[in-house]
Amino acid sequence: MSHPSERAGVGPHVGDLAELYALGALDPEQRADVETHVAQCAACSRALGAAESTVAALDAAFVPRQKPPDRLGHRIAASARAALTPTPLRTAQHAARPVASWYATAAALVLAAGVGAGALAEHTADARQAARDSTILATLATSHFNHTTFTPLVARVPVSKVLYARDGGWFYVVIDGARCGCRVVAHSAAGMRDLGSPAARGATATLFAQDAARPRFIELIDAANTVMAKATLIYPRS
Amino acid sequence: MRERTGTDQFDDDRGVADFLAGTSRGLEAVYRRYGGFLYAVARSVLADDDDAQDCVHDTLLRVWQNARSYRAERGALRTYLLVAVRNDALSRKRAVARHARIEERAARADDQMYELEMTDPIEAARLRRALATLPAEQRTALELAYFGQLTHVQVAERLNAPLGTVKSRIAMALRKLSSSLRDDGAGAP
Repeated sequence: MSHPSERAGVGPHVGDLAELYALGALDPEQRADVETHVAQCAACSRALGAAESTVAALDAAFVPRQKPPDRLGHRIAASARAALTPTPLRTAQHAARPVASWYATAAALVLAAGVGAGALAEHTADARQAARDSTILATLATSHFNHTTFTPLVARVPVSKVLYARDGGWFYVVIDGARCGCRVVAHSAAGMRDLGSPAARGATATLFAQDAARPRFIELIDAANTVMAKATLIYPRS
Repeated sequence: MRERTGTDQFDDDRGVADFLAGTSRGLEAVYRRYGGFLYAVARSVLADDDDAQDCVHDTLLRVWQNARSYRAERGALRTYLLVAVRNDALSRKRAVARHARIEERAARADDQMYELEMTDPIEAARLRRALATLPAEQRTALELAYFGQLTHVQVAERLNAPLGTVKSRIAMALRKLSSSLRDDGAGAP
């Protein structure tokens, strides 16, 4: 990856990108470049901080103040408790959001896997898929997991979610569209790992990954290596 | 709880230290203190209550979980969180598939603006005076980026100007604005 300033042509540091970052005027890739650079450059970190202070002054002057709904505070408090104290089958990241639909989905998958395994047993590939389904569902049934929605970064990204183990041992990407034409890339402290394309399963596409080294975020990448959507994974503190 | 606003001086207290130490008490303290401002910024960008709540919740949890990425030399935690929320909100808004729907909501929300209060009329007047001192081409570029919430690429397209020129104009405008605010006395919050 090239240095952010090399792309900007402004010298050895982030230069004008600091002000653009503070204003939210960069695309996600450039923003990530700036964050990577300032994490190891005190001078650029200070320059960015100065720009951010000026944007904060603009916000203080021009953003109409609104009281956040009480439920947001409750939701954040619940997420904090869930993150620090593992609770069976609690979602930490979206504690106030309905989660019954996901359990219903898991139950439906169990049923579908059972029916599917019987109907397709004559076909080796389908039998392998059924075996994988069985493994996935057994993992889901015996794990504590969170879920979050991918944030789309380009147009026409299907609604996508990721269920992930609270210990970071596995994740399960579900995309509402069988032909998303994307690959799943996991980013962890160990580096980047391309896990390939989700498999079509009826009207959806899914990908299950284990030993993913506790990914911090997961991206959906198109054929041109453009990041289509991104999901940040939040784990309980160990 | 009433939010203390307009300054970062409270960053030095126990709540921020607890937040950076990763305690739930710290997270809740920082939310109580800055949540109103963070929510207002997210709401102003996204024009939707649920999206704004998701944005504040996800950003605050992400920073709390990765507190080591925050460096005090960069500035106050409040400012760091504010920019993180703004960037996350803009990313969500720029997801083009949802853009049109959000714009419709924003148009409808115009009728509800009477419910809102300007944060600080005196501060707003001071900022307007400072903006007025900028050269016209810099001010236009900055206003398109800040008030128009456009990327620098979109600003360049709107102004039909070279990308490098627009980057420089925006950056220079913000630096001059910062300098002007310092000269004016109170400085940035």
